Amino acid sequence: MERYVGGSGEAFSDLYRRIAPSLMGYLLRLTRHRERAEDLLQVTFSKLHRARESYLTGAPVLPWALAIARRSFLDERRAAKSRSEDLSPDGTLPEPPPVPQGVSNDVSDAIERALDSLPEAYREAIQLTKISGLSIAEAASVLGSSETAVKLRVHRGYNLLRKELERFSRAT
Amino acid sequence: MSERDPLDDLPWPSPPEPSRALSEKIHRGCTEGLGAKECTSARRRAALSLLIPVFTVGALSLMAVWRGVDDSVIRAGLYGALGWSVVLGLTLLVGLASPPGRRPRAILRWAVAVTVPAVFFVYLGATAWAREPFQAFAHGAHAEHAFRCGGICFLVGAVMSSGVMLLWRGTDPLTPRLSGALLGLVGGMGSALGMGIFCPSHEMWHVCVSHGVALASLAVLGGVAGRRLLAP
Repeated sequence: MERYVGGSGEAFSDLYRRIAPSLMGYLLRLTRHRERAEDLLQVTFSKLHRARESYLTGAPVLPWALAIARRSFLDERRAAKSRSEDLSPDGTLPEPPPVPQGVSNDVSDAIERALDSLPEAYREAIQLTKISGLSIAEAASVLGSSETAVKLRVHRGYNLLRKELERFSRAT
Repeated sequence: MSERDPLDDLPWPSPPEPSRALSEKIHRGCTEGLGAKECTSARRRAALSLLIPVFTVGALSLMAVWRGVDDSVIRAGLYGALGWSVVLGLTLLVGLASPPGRRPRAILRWAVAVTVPAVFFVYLGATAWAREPFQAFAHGAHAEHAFRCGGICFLVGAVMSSGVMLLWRGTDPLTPRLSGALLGLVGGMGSALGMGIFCPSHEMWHVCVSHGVALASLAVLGGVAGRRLLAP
């Protein structure tokens, strides 16, 4: 990050390679919509670029970027709530993207679907700690809550996930 | 020994790669005309933040000399300011001198943001030896003086808090409210200490309301402004 602030485009490429997949995964998990996640990823990097000189030396970059991504998501959601819903050309409200139904034989798919079925707070906590690889303290700072609350969310999320995966294993 | 959770061994989905087109667009946006800028460490910013209240107390002390305030009063005020500048330095050290993500726990930093103003109020109350009934303070010339003094104290503190906020602008996406409250406290305390020298009142209600309330209100306002100013 410091080399990028120093003006190295190559350093940005390294940084992008390291953090973009985690940011994309997190935003995808939050929005459950690829296009929205990509838009937000672009917004996040644009904010990160504009704020690069205010980066404090030694700060862990991924939590820093994830916090910006989360704030961008919350701002976008707040703005969307205050906008009137666009109607489809046929005059109806647009439907949310379809959630795949049926039983998959692939464990990874089952985990994906089980994760998507979790309440947002649990999903976010598990995404940050298990998939993005943050520590509980880092996840707590990104989410703006206490470590105990994050531990609790992960634990409750695990319990729901376990039930969901047991259902999957019985079905297969 | 704790048992390992079987879910820990799950094949968690690996983070997805953004599309190539998007990656190229982001690359272009973030690297075109990329000029060299300088990163400033949190410690350096914290040291600069301490200089602002020190400078303000110095300026208000000079104005007190110019106004003809008694030497012994100025000296006593400066001793007090010196002691509190140590507290302020420690507050900055605990609350802001490390980069976000490496700072002490939020609960400890909140405790500092609440305890320091509370102790400062106790200090103001304890050092004020003249005690009038509140009714006498709240009416007439006393009230007018308190209002004017409180206004100046708030304005000076607001200018100082804005200065330190600008110094830390966009630096904290993780806990911007808390950092904002701490920066408001820095400005408010610098102003209250400076006003203690410039307006050497020893009346308890006056010092607590006119000098102290500005500190508390600036800490609260700093928390509100921090969300906008300190988050990138």
